[in-house]
Amino acid sequence: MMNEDILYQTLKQRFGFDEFRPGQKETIEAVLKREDVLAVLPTGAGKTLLYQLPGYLMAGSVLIVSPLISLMQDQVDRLRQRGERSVVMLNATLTGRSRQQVLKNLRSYRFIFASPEILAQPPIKQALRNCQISLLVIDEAHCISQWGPDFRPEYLLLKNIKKELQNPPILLLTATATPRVQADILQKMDLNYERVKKVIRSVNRPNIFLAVDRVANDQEKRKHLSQWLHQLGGGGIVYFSSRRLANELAGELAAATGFGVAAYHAGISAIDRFRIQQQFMHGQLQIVCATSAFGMGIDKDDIRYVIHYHLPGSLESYVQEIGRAGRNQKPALALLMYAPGDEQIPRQLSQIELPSQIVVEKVQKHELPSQALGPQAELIEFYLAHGWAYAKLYTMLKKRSQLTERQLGAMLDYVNETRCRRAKIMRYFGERPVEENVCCDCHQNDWQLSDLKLPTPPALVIADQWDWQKQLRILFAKESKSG
Amino acid sequence: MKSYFIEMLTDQPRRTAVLRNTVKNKRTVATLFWAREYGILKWLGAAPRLTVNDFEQWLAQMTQAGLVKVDDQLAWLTPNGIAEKEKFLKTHYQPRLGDWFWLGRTDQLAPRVLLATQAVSQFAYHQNHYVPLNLAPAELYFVRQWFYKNRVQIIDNWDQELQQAAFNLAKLDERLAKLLVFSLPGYQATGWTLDQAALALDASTDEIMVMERDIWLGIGYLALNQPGSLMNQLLADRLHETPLNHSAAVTLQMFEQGMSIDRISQKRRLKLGTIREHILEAAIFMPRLIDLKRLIDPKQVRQLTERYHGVPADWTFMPPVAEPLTTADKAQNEQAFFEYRLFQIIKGGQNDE
Repeated sequence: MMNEDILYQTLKQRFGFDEFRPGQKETIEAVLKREDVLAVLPTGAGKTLLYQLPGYLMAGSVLIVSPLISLMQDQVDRLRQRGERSVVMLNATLTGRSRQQVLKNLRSYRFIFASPEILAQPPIKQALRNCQISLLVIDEAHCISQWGPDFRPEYLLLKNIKKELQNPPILLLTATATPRVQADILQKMDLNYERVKKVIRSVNRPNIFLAVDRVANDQEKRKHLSQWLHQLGGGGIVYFSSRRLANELAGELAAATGFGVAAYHAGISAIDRFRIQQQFMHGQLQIVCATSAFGMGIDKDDIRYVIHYHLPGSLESYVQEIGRAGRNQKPALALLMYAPGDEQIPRQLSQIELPSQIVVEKVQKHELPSQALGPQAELIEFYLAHGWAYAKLYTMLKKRSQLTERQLGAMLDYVNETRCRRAKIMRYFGERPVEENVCCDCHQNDWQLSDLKLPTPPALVIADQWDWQKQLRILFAKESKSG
Repeated sequence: MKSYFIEMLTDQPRRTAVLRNTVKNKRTVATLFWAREYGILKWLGAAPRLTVNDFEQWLAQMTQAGLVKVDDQLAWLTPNGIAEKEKFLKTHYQPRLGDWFWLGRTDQLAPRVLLATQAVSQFAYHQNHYVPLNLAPAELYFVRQWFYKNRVQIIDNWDQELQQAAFNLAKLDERLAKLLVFSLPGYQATGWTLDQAALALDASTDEIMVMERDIWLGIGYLALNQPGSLMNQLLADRLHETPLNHSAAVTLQMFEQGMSIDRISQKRRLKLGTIREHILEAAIFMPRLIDLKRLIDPKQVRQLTERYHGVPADWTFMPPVAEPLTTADKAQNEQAFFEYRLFQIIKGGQNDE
């Protein structure tokens, strides 16, 4: 058993903290005892520490499987910011010389991040087998569950990877998982429910005030949003389901409010996404109009509010996204804007149309291009490639479509809730509801922003005169910013 | 970037595929030949990620707006289109360094300079813990090696080289210097995003993209011409010394040494057709380096002169064997086409700026 002093010492030396947050110590101790662990901890609970700290105490490398490049990049950035250079990402963007170099030296990295797809490639598996993997981490583990809203079929490939890597302990991490999803994750990973240690903390974030703003139509929504931002000031994220609207409203809101507002989505160049994240983290940008690509792993603890312009497809996604607000435990606001008919957008986005059996068979025989499978071609092809018969696929997709409809139903119930929104969320995740002093707009339907006592917004950065010579001197420490 | 495509059109019909392949840097001899005839080589590789769809959409929008007419894969400006183009030319930033398109891919040059500046700036403030720009591992490694190799005096030297680059750019347009410097990340600075640059410089995002292209081509030029400089060490392996690709440059070198194209083909174990394409490409980019007499004898030149006259772009190739059946016939036609194209290239280039 690891000496407790060493845990605290490492926590202080490597991460600068004196205390663990709830759930952290318990999980880390279990991991160090080589137990398999499922940790369901709310956003902001410090999940990355759960594998980073053991990474410094175990010999060999930690392999972290992560579903999104942006999420991986965030975590890699944060490790690098702390001075950790022994970290690498294995994903589709790694090609050519970089790839060869990395695979040759893979065992020298302490933290190896990988996408589930890439783990299926034989050269990658071989390189990993040559390493000593001390811990296998599955981040966003709810993606394994077909009952979860973010199901990713590639995650089903992970079942064998544990065995192939000589059975290192496994740490499954997620922020939101209903009891059904938890059980499904373990089943899909071929783990014994009884033998896996479960560290589960409430999804409730007591410092976040929950509210819904019902409007008549999109025009009114735009007007309201501008008013909200005027009142709220900086330090917030506005989520959209469409890139186009995120772009459009970022421009409009910047002009209307005078705040620094930027759009953030997968269509923006990688370097600009880096800039926006960094500017937002350092308070140089007040508001980000984003799609769900923004925020996973954003380690900014003073986000004052999260506004959803569009209805998310599930309470799981919603809770995860609003969890980015108020990580400093200070009062924060989660506001959902709703106009009648808003549910059509997530409904359309989640729809998976399976073409007829004839079409599917023709694609399999290469008589038709894979595009004939429609917008979800990649997903369908994945199953076909893994030996699923048409009938089985049809039944599964039908069930999934019923499920996404139910999840959307739960989201709509949240919008229509009249008694307590917090209780609604907690019941959904199988928890016993609690009420907070400042809880939600159901309890205080005449609520005012001033009631919430949100922290003061960060000050606006005054625009420079764009003197490039001075800026160069500042960049190289030859002149201070003030002159 | 798309708004600039209007500059590639005139009131005369132009092949839409040539316009698209030019900005995408899809180099075939035909594309390069026509791009030079149209005087649009400066746009070569200006939008490498453009999709066919994007381009078609742009054409459709322009047609719908009554600015462009399209017929049989040819497009030209309507009178309204010409007026619009004139207005556009007056109100939008115009590329200054597009002729150096061949120096390198700006999307490969820029990230290195940005990361290098970030590292030097953080170093100037004694910071070790920061998030480096998210480049590929090989690029991070490369810049790290560059940094350690030059660490002594790197702050002053890099500052001076950037100042020199910015001064040179400012001579062309002050906004270029501002855009370069304010895009640089460093200590407590991330650099402008595209939108932020557009707002600060009161320009459209398309204009910013064109300015950025000028900036990185300008910096590439400086790097190439200052051997031993920090910029040169940082970018040399990404820079080209000629507009030709490596293989074509080798062919040209052998040709200049006096080898015939048949001999080059044998020696390099490349098809004769490939070697001919190299020579044609060289003739397009560097017509003065190609000694026509070595490729076409005076008698053939006379024949070609008699057969083809007027504007070279309007010529139509007339094959010597109208219905080639044998391999020898085909080979004869291929040789004739090569000579025809070469002659056309040498005589053409009227619009080349």
